[in-house]
This record gives sequence, structure tokens and C-alpha cells, in this order.
Amino acid sequence: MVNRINFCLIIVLLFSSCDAWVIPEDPKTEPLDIFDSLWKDVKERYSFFEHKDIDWENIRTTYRAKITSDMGSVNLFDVLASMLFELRDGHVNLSAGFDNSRNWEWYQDYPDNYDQNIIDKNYLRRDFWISGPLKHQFINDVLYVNYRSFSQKIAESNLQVVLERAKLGRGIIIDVRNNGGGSLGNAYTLASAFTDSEVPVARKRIKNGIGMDDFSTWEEITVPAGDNVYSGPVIVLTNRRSYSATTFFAQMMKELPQVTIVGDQTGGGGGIPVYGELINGWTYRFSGTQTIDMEGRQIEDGVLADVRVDLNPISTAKGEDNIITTALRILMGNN
Amino acid sequence: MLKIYHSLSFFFLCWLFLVYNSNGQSLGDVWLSTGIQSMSSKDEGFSLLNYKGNKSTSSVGFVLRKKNKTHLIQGDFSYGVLANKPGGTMNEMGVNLTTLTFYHKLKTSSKGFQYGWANKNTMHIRRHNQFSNYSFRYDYFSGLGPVAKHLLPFEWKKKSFLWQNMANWQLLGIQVKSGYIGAEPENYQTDKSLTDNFFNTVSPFVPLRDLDLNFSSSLFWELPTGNKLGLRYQANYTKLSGIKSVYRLDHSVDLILNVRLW
Repeated sequence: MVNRINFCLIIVLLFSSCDAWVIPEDPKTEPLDIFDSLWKDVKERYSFFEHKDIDWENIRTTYRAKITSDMGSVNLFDVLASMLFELRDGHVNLSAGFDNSRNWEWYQDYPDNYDQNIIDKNYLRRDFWISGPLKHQFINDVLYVNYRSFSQKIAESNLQVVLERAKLGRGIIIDVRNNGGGSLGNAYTLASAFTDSEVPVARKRIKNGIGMDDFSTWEEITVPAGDNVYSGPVIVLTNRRSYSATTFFAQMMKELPQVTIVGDQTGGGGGIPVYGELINGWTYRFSGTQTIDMEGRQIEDGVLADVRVDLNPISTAKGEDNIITTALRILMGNN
Repeated sequence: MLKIYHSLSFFFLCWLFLVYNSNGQSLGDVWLSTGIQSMSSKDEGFSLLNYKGNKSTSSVGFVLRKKNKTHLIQGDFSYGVLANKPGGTMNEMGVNLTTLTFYHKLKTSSKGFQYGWANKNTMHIRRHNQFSNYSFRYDYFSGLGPVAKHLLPFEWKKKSFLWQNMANWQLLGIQVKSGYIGAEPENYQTDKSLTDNFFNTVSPFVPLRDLDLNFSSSLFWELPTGNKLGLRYQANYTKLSGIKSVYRLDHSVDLILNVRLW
């Protein structure tokens, strides 16, 4: 009996002490290991190498040579951030607590095309309505709606207030300039307010293997039919700082027949970010999907405006947003 | 909803009682347990880092002992927050439903070695708390494999005890788990039906490549009424291979209340 008890105790002890044998260990913490871990994950899951013609192997050679075993955290962060900058993607960030790397070239080298002071003073004025995240005001019988971030949830009740009010006028302008994105759910909610049938608007695919060309099959993205929709003419105002979920929203609206996109093209952000973490606690994200419009164009490159117009300095000096003026002219021409 | 659940449970137990009490040679037990589970987990689809932490766990089971074989059905639930070394966290929930059958023809069912087979159905769901997208992943498998247990009754200070050690190994089966990125399994297509997607996404649970091993050791104090109070240590190791493999090892300690039904 004692032998049996001993045998069982040995089994119990074996099971209770075998974590390290059966679960693969964490990656090592040396700077070179951290670099390799990040580089490899990006290599295996990033979705735009081919589209952007990026030689990731060559980038590895360049930046790996800058890694030394005794470098500090800030220097290591700088090297990793510089390597990620090469992806030319606003959805790529490295977060280290003390800093957050980014590439904002998608809007920094382009005209602003939006002046919040002019909007507040001359268009929303003092008596605009606030329905959740949507600020709205009539301008010459046209409802002007300003939406600052798709991170702000649009409740159905808020949306219905806007739609009912818009039905009293001759059209609606939705201003999503400088809207940097947020939740795709809000983009679907807002877009579905303008269609009473399901509309295919884009196609997406996701990385599904370590090869550069390993993707799932293309899957259709559709805007669901809304209730009590607005069927009149719609103008969507965009600029280069309309990014990510805002780009998706612009693409959804572009496929609806009564919608015109006015302003500059959106900044892009057509790859939905995937996340990862390094052994030193830093986290990162990068695009893991691709989305194309119905003609096969990557919306990572932005959604083009139907009517291309920049803010005119002479107009802005007079307190006028000539992009809104253009939108009003189009709507008046429709009526 | 809770009322329906309670009613169904009650009718199930009544049915078991009526069916098996008609057979005078059977014994029926039900047990409840609750305890704490220490888990280490790695899902390569989330992270290359290990996540560890404590979960609360509870289980319910039913044992039917007949002359030649013993049937056992057990449901487990566990939930907790796991953390990696730098401090990232994920919420983890696990559900198991296991059926075991032991054969003991010509032997007493209350001591010695017994062998049989087990079917285990396991689902684990996890949500990463630092990721904004693709933060949800899961895995499910159903496996079949051998099981063995050893029963060692003994007396100490005029009280009856039973030490039960049990091990099982899931050898063959099926699995469905989250794919390369995100929750959806590989080959999942949103425009296909549930049935089509099941056949598209299911893959075999291959011996040795995929593993599920379970070991438990329970010490019961047998009361004169036939009921038992017990303390159980249980360890479980799971490895589900694939393009993003999942590894899991947990150790649990439970208090068990075993009630003799008939």
C-alpha cells in the first residue's frame, strides 16, 4: 500500500511541476530578440507589403544592424519605431508608455481643408442642435451635420432626430473632415440611414498565413438597410484627415446613388489593425486586412472625392468654407 | 431562464432516479465541487507571451455504478483573468463536458484498477483586454480516448477514506478553433450556412500532434450515510496544433460534496 501511495504522490508532483516543460517559454528579453520578434510578426501578418512594394527583408538588414546588446529602452524604441515608419501606414503604432510611434504622412503633406473656427462661428453658429455626437444646423434649407469622431456612438434615437429634421429641408451635408475614425459599427449605423435596401459597398480579405500572398477569399461588405431612411440628396465632405472608419464610411456612402463626396480624398486606413505585444511590455499594431472598393481599388490609398475642391485662402479669410459652398451649390442644382 | 434550467435539471435527476432505481444492483451518486484553478496558457494567435493566473472553477457530476461498469458524466466551468509578465491581461473562460465509462466485470467496483474510455468536449473562450480589434478567440474540441483509475479504500482512526487517482488521454476527435487572425476559424465564410461552415472549419484532433491529458487525485472521507466529502487535485494539459497553436496547462484544487442518491 505504501508503494502505491508513493507512486501516486510522484505522479501528482510530476503534474504539478511541469509547466515549464509543456508550455513554450516566453521570447528572450535582449534587444535583438525583441527586434526579431517584432520584425517576424509584422512579416507574417502585415497585409500591404506587396501593395506598397515594401522590401521587408531589406528593412530588416538596415535596422537590425543598429541594434546593440547594451542599448537603452529609448534607443531601442527609436530603432523599432523607425523600422515601422517604413510601412507608411497610419494604422501602425508602437506603444511604450513613454512614447507612441506613428506615421502621419497620410495627411501632413496635404492641405488642411478644414477650419473648425469657421465652422463653429459661421455655420454651426450659436443655436445648433446637439443629438448625441451629431451637431446639426440648417444652412439655406440644407441640414449641415458635423460628426467629429466615429469613436462617439450614434444612438438610433439621435440619428432619427437628424433624419426627421433633414426631411424638412432640401438636402443634407455630412461633414466628416478631420474625423480620424473610430468604430466601424458607427459607420454602418450612419450609412444605413440612407438606404432602404442592403447595398454591397466593398470587399475585404484577411491575412491567413505566413506567406506574403496568404489571404482569405474576398468577402463582400454590405451596408444594411435602415429604418425610416432619408432618401433625399446627400453630400459627404471629406479631407485627408478623414481616416480609418471614416474612409470606410466614405466608401459606403460613395456606393449609394444619391450621395456625392466633396472635398479632398480621404487619408486611407483601409487595413483593420491587428495587435501584438513584446516581452518588455510594449504593444504594437499594424494592418492585417485589405479592403477594396467595387472596382478593385485599395481604400488604403483613400476614397476619392467625386467633386475635388480645396479650401480657398481668400474664402477662409472672409470666414467662408468654400467646400460647404460647393456642396450647397450641388444640392441646390439637384432641387 | 433560470427556472427552466432548474426544472430541466430536476426532471433529469428524477428520470435517472426512476430508471436506475428500478435496477436494485446500481448505485447513483451526484457531486458538486468548487475550487481554484491555476492556469498557464499561450495562444499564438494572440501573443507569443505566456499568460498565467488563477480562475474560479466549479463542477457537477453524476456517477452510476452497475455490476459490470461505471458511468460518469461531469460538467466543469472555470473563469478568471490571466496576465503575462509585462502585465497584459486576458479574460479566460472554460467549459468541459466529459463522459467516462469504466469496466470492472468480475471485479468489485470499489477498489483496484479500472479501465475504460472517455469522451471530452471542451470549449475555451478568451478576450484580450489590451487589443481593440480581433481581441476575441476560442477553441473547441471533442475527443475520445482511454481512461484509467485506481481506487484505494483505507481506514484511519476508525474512519473510512477513499483515495481515487484517475487519468485520461484524448486520442482522436475533432477541433474547431480561431484562425490566423481574429475569432473566426480558418476557411470560415460569412455567406455560408452554419452546417457548411462547420464542415469547412472543423479539423481532426490528431494523436500526439494534438494532446489532451488529464490527471486527478481525490481523497474522500466516506460518511456512514454513503455520502462523501472530498478534496481533489486535478491537472489538465491541452495542445491544439495549427498555424497558430494553443497550449494550456491548469492545476485545480476542489472541495467535493458527493451525495448518494440511491
